[in-house]
Amino acid sequence: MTDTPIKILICALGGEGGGVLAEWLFELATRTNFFVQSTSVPGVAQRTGATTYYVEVYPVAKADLGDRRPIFSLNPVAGDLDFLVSSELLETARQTRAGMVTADKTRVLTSISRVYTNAEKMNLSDGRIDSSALIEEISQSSKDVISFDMAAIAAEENTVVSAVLFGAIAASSVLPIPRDLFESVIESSGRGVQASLRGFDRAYSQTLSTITGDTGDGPEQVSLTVDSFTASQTIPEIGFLPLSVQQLVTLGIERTAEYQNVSYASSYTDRVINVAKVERLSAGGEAGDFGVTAEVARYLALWMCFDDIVKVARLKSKSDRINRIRQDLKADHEDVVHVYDFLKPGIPEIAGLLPPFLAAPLMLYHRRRVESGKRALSFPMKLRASSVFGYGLFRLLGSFKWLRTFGSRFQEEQQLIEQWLLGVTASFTESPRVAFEVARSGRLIKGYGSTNERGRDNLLHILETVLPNLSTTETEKAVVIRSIVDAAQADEEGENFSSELLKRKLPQKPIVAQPIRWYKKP
Amino acid sequence: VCSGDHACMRISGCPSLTLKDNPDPLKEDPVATISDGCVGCGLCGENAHSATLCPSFYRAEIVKNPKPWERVVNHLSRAVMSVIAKN
Repeated sequence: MTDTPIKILICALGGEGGGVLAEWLFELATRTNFFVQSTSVPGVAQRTGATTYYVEVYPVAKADLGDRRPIFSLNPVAGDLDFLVSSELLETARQTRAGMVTADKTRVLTSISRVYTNAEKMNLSDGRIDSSALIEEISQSSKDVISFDMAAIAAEENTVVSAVLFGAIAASSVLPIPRDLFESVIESSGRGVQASLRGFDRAYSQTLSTITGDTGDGPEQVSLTVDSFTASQTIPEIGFLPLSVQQLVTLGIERTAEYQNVSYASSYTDRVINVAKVERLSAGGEAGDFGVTAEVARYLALWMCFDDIVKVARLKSKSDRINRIRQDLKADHEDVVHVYDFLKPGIPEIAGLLPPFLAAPLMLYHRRRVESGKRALSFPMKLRASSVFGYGLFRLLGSFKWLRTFGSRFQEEQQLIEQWLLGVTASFTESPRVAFEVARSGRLIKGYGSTNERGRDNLLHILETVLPNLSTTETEKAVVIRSIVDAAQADEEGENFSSELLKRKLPQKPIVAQPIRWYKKP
Repeated sequence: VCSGDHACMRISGCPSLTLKDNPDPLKEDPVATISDGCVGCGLCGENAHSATLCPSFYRAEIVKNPKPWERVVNHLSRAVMSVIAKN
């Protein structure tokens, strides 16, 4: 005869079916003739609320108890939880931090899937919390952990994650109840039964194999695989580089060739080899890992293929695009799909394609207009890419590749690229680590319009003002540059950037005059 | 087309506008994607459009049980587009 009930805490996000799961457990226990109590703190749809459901089951048949009744607790107590079931990894970590999970008795059953928080999403580069760190913390605080990607299973079987969680609970033998009773509860629920049963079954087998097999793995790492890249694909000039770097460079060559033409691709190769030669020299002529060259190869390819009207038009008129969208929407063959692209080219985008003598007066007009407080002139449109007209227009615009090299933006970007590359190669005189960080700062260049301008301004500030003014020793220099680059990508307003510069006693960016905008009272 | 800057996420608070790993091996930063929970309100797109953020947004409309005329127009358009695509 057990003293205490089995205590299960269910954590889910709003809309994931945590309440359904609690009801199922309740129903399950009732059918087994156990006493059960469940309480809940429900939330709202999506991630508006994290929802928790607390279920206590007294695993003794009612008949055996006679007149006695178990006393249940209304809420979970830290330090006294048998089982934590969660559909999202951060929620599990949150409950662990709150003390709900203890190493002496709490078993954890969690999905490794994540729903990102706004703070993680807002970072200009990658603000995602490292899942393996979360899993590590949870593992250390708990008795044992069963973890796998439940959201993926739920999506694949077209069901809700509650069925998946139910299957995992069944397989983990938290409750001394046979599997078919679990399934009978799902069957009587009446809604989406087949899909739920499939999800249940997959979770059941996955949990068993996790328990009997080895530990639950962390999220898979997506990385470049070198195995598919054979030596026969090597371009001779870059043969002296390690395979992984060659792979990056080859990708870059393909990109630049597709973006413009073959001679553009060979200017890319020349630039990369230039950096590689300087790197090899600085390593004393030995074969190193060419880390700086790899970094340059990556960001140079992206920068040389900057986003202009022609590139966007080409991307939007790729032959399989409409079909891909149809697939994403799960459209049947007879369904009609309309796609409206949101475009808003402004004067800078148009001037970018024109030669400097035409672009200059346009940009002057643009600047004067913005400075005087008026809104910048732009041409917003919602172009129907699924119509012959829209598609034809995209193809027409995409055919203006030849115009690009005469355009003002092309020449500007090449100039800036050279400036950056010079900064990289010059930094080798300091140390390869500093050169690496300067190469890495190429990541600041991305995006469209004001986003792109901001990244460009930040990079220029680093190249022109920060680098010459660094007075610290060699290793510290690399750390300083890295922290400044990361600060530039921490927020949009540039506050992190400024405060980092202040911390390092470096000059700030010059203050740009902001126009005062006048609006008529409606 | 997404550059991985996430300005759209900073402007919109929608939980369905989330991150996914970049399919481009050259880029490292995650890109924006719309998850299954999207109810199709269009706010994220309108915001990005007004703020001139990014040409990545599009609105996809799916017409179920189209009228015979709509179907004909659709098939013709797709045929013409695939001819244009080959050139």
